[in-house]
Amino acid sequence: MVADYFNNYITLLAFILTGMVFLSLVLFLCRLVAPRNPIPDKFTTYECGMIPMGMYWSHFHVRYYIFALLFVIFKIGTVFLYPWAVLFRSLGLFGFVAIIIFWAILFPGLLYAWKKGVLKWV
Amino acid sequence: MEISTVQLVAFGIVTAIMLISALLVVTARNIVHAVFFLIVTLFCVAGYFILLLADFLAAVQILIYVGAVVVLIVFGLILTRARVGQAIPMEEVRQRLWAVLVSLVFFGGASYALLNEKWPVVSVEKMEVTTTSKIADTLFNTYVLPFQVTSVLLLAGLIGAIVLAMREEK
Amino acid sequence: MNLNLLLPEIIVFSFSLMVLFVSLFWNNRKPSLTLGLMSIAGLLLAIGAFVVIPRVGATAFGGMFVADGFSLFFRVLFLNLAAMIVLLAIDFMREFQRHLGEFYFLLLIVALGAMLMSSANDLIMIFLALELLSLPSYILVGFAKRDPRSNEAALKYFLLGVLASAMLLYGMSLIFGLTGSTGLVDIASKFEASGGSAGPALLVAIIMIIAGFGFKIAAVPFHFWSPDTYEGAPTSVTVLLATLSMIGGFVGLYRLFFIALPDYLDIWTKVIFILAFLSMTMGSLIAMSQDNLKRLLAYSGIAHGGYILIAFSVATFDSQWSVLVYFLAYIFMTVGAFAVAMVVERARGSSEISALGGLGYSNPFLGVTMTIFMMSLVGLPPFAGFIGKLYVFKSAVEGGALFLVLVAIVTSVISLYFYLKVVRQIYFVKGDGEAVPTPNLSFAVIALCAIYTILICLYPVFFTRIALAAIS
Repeated sequence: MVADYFNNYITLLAFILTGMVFLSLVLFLCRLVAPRNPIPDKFTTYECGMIPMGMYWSHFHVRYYIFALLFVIFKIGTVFLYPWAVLFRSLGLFGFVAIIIFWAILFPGLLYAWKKGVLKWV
Repeated sequence: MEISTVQLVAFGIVTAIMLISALLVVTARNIVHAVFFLIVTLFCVAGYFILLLADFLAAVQILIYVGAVVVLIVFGLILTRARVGQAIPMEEVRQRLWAVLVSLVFFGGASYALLNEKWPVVSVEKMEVTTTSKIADTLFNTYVLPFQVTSVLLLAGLIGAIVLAMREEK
Repeated sequence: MNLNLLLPEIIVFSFSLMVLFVSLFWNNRKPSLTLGLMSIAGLLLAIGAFVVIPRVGATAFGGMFVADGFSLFFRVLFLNLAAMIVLLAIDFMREFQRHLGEFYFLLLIVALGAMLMSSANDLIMIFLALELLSLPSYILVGFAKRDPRSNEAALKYFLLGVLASAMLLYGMSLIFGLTGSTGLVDIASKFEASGGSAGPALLVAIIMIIAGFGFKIAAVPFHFWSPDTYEGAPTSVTVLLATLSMIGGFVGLYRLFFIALPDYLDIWTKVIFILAFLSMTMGSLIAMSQDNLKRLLAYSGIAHGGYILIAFSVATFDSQWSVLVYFLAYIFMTVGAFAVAMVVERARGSSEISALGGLGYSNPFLGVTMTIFMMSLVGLPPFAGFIGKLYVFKSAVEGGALFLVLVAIVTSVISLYFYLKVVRQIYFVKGDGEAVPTPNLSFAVIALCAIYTILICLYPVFFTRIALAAIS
């Protein structure tokens, strides 16, 4: 049981390592083959061939933050769905009610955000 | 090779990567680099969970922390008026000495205590893999009340954050 | 599975949602009054719901949630306390037109967290209850978004609060590692079975847990946030921090130590001994130099936390019930003092002690009641503070903590100086003579607090009997 478990992850590890080795190999080859001719224009931000305006790093509206936050909160909610789904049959009605209550408590938050207009894309 | 040896070696490697990247998080001068090192650190925590035979938690760790919390941190960075994306010159912080001292005392004390304690440990070979269904079983039977309270907490956090982050138009 | 045990909590949560959504969908002209009264209706209904709860110890959700005398006492106490705070907030939150529904929602959630804390019988429940207590408070402290002091207060409170939560979790994880269990009763029996000699990891765990709760109860040396936060937060929220949130922390500390770690009593009482000593002395000494009433009350709260910790450090049966009496006394005098401070702050636009000048003549009611609260905070008879201190000190002397009691008496004498400073300002300094109007609801709260402050001293038997019933 435990041995199987670790064998699975050794496969995963081998996969990750191969990926990393391949990536560094390709990058190394690129560096070896490509001609290098650094001129200042090459270091500007690429913007469809136009001369870029302003800094490449600009500030975002607070609205995005609320979106990210809603994303985090509902993602945490979704994580709880996985174990429930795995044991759906044996948990039966009790599990179903439990998860419904969980979402019923969380759902007003979405309703609130909606009504407050934070979901509006202006 | 014994499983416990494999586990120990893997633990050493993961810990080394984690410690280095965690140090880089706090020492990086470019805050965006710090966030990327944070991702590496969080991935290593997921590695710990895998080594402890709890792969569902590892997946959750990556989904929530790497996938969501870091996104939130990046958004937080972008929102600030600081010159993000560039190295920031650090002023000499006067409390640095104290901070190092306190951390060392805490680290020393805690590690002394942890190393000298007789823990009720089981060898890896005798452990059982914490499957998702086992987690579901504890979550929906023993811990069903905390589970519901968690959603109240999430709701309070959601509404509180909207109150604080909403722009007041006047 | 005994869902009826949780009925008060369910009612409070339902009303919190109702308040939130009423504020969203219904535009009325007096939002603060309507929403506040709705919250109070919910809290009173929840108190009424205790009729269906059996008096004997019952558990729900596999022992996660326990309804014994102790939890009954504190759940009812927190509900009443929350109702008083809401009553005060109704008058003072009118200026926050935009987010009133959220304000009352978060306030009710804090009350819910405190109630869950009193019934928590599991490490995870304790942690969640503490977070439920803290998270909305961080937001409430920063509720005055345009006030930079409120922002600063919220940031300080939040950063230190998160650190404290992390330390608490670390301590809890060590206990879980040692016993393999999260249930408090289970932990106690596992420790008992293991023979009772404490390893070094348990010592670290105890220190971490005390640090985590010490932050919530603002015990020295974990008090650094409290004066700044008390001063910067909207005063309705400061009352909440000084009473609900602080007592919630004490309740968590009590449950964890008395139920899960009774075998290691001699270890954790020593740590608490140090905290009690430091809190009493530092709180009283620094309070002497304060000119701001809210800061003064913050340091006075720290000192009172120290007196309460004496009872924790003695940890006998007598000290346990006497600390409940102390809580009762502390609540009424603190809420009363803050209520007067709020009224004055609103009328004169400042929370400095000098703003109280001549209050005894421009508003005799406030002058007299404030004097009562100050005398009670010192611990002078015939006021509640005297009874609280009397029982705690008596039980401490009997429990062998003579040193702490001597320190407590010395610091009480010191505290006479700064509480009298307030009284002197009320009666012996000529103010601008400007009238200080008392809003009706605040008047009611102040009057109620003053009545109870006297009543507890006149009929202590009634209150000690409640406390005794809660502990045994």
